[in-house]
Amino acid sequence: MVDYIQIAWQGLVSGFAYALIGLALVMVYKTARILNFAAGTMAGISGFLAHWWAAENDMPFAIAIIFAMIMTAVGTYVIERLTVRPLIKLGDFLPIVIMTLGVEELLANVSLLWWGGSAQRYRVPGDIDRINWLIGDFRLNAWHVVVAGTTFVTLSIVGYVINQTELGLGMKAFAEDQDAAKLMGVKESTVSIWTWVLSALVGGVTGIVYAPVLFLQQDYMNIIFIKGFVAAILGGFLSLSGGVAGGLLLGELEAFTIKWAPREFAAALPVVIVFIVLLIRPHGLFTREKGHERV
Amino acid sequence: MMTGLEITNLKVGYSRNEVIHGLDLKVNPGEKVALLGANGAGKSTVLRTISGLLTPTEGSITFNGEEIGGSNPANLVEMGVIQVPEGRRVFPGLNVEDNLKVANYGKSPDLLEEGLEAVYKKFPILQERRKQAAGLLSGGQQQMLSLSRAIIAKPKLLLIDEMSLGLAPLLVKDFYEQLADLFSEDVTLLLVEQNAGLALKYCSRFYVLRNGELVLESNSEDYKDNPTALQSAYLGVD
Repeated sequence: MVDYIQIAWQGLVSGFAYALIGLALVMVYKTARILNFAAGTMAGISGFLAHWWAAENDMPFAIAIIFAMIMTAVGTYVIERLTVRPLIKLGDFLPIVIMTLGVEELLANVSLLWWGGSAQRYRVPGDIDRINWLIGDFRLNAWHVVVAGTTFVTLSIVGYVINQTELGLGMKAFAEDQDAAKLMGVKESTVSIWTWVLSALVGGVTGIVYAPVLFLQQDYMNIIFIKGFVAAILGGFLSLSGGVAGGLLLGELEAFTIKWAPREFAAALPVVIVFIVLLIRPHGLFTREKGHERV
Repeated sequence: MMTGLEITNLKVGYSRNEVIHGLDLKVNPGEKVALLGANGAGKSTVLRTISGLLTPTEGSITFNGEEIGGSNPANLVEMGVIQVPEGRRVFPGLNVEDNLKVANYGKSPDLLEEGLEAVYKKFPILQERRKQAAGLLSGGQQQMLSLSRAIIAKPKLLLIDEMSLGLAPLLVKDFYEQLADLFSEDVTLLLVEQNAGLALKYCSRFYVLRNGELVLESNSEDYKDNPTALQSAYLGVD
């Protein structure tokens, strides 16, 4: 029994990362109809920045994170204005997606130049990522508790912004019908920029909180990005909660696959899942097929 | 300076296809004017250009003396240029009240309270169903919601695009009869419609657009009793 709880918990801990990145991807896609292929690398740079401020500039842990988040927000603002905005006017999907691939490539190389290619440890106060509690036979890593708490807080904040603020209302209206939203006075550029920043902050939190788990390496967020992508597909790519649920589900599936199948198979699992989902429910597991419009 | 809406030599198109070939049109302050024409004549393109969704390639659009051609839709909404789009275009996944909230975007919450009260008084069914997704409303109720968004947005220049589209004729008639009651007397109105009979009852003047060009401009009086006489203008046949 404890065995299963242990596996389920392990699945959750990875699932949180997929859920957060899935959420970040869905957010941008839903509002702006853009697939951001740079999301993973951007998240990784947030992790590097937090590490850099703390380890190389002797900044207290929390302050370093705040600095990293501010830089993430500002950097995303600049990226959106310089690369995405000029292309939006073309009204075409593909050029923007290719542009995000270009941004990904650029950022990956900048981070390689700046921090080098070797793995670095992201140190957390009291080295609590190395503390393991034993509750009966159940092993609980202290940092994993922090990961869970951070995920919960992040999701709550995003939920609040989307459902309780005027910006969130504008994002939802814009996601439903761009022209109608514009005719109601919702500004496209404002909604777009804030969606990108919010998405990058969610990604940034993920990059930072998973840095101690994964070790900082040039492309340490890539694997999370791919799985976040799968999470988003599982959720139908148009539902924020679907993306989160998809991430958690993927985490569990993976954890239990490792238990019962050869480890090598677990790596192929996400792709297999996408294949099956796209065949059976192309609109995702958690979104309904678009119904007929009423006249 | 109140000069209403003035369009001179307007040319608009999508990429390289020009759709409107030099339109001149004027709506005086407080006047109700209809823009008629068959399907594909370019009526909606004119409205979409006035409300800033499209940018004119040539010509000018002024509202109360200010050039508004090519402005950002959000700035136009602030000026009081409000469009009720074709096909109602409610946000189907948002509930009724959120739909109305979007219409108050960027404005004070007090205004929203006021607006909601006014709207719910006029359409009690919307209050009853305010927590329901707008996509689940009937077509008539969606049109109520679409008009209600415009009421909340407090228009100075109101652009209504084809209210009759996809609605039962009786319902459409109801809506036209209610228009005078829904919006204040001094709102300047430009109404796009295929159904000439209804539009002429409500508007004092009208224009007929065919293939992106004006073919007729007249007082409604002259055609009120015989809207079929407009057919030749619509279709370009005698």
